[in-house]
Amino acid sequence: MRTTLDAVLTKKYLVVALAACTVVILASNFISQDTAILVGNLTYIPAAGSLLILSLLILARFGTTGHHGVAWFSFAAYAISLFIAEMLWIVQELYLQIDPFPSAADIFYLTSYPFLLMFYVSYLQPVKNAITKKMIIASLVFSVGILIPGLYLALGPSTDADLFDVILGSIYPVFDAMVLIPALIGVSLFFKGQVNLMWTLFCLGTISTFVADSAFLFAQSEDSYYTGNPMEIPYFWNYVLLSFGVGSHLVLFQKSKTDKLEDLR
Amino acid sequence: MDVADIQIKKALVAFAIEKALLEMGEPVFQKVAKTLKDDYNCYIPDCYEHPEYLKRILSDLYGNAHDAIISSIKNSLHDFSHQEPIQKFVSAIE
Repeated sequence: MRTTLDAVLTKKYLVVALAACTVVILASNFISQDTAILVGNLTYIPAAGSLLILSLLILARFGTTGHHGVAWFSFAAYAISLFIAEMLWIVQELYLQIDPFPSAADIFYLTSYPFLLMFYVSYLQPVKNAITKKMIIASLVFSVGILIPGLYLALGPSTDADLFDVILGSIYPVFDAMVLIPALIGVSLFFKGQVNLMWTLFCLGTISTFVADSAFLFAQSEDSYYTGNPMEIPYFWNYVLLSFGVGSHLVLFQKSKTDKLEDLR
Repeated sequence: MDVADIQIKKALVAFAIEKALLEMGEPVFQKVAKTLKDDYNCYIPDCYEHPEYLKRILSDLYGNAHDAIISSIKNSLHDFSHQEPIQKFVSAIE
């Protein structure tokens, strides 16, 4: 059984991981912009890589049967899509030395959203009867409530930015707000439950991505964006939060020696 | 009610619980069964006599959403709900 000590330790490691990526990015920015670009790009490898490994481990645990199995299959597809996108971004920026936005990486970033949505929907499917209209309205109001000012602030200074870049950049916060709706429903639905830690971390991760995507759009409009800049820190937080979320679920549903179905019946 | 009748009802309830949990995923069933064993030293069919154990475990695991899982178990038992022991189980788990 999961003890209070386990929960405290999980949170302690989470805070350390969040602080570590913040310090790494800020320190590299203090050195020089070139260092920040290099460090920023390279930090995505362990960040996206650990999420990918954990999502494959949890897929191996749940398989593809049952609602949770389908959910974790979708989540693994989400992690794979994100990992490919990050690798494409790194190759274009560090090896080919071309501007990675917009590029083929965006196809994989955008493809990841339907998979994340599928994850949320499949996970919530068996408990859909407990979802109330109040929960849906509150989540919808919160998502739209942060989307409108977010887009307004990000698009405000837009002057000579390319229209295609602005439209593409705007799609990300909109998609973030869309996936935030089921994430918020999950948090309220599983409130006080052990699975709520994962849902809370996923929800915070989605909010972090929304903040980072809005900041990205803002910086793109001002042409001041570079990989590894401090506004990218919430992107790293997203990977850390999602990884810890998956990890907490993996620990909660870990396989034990007596897990043969016949032995438990 | 004779012993055979009790066994049949236990099996019915166990089947309904297993169906609801396995529909979610095998690890969910394993987690619930293991917690039942660790915390109460009992198995899924024993929930027929102690529905409160299952209710507590589902509530600990899924928080507010445990009601929906319980509804799914109740729906599986719907055809047998006119029988008093099943009705008693359903009322106790609510």
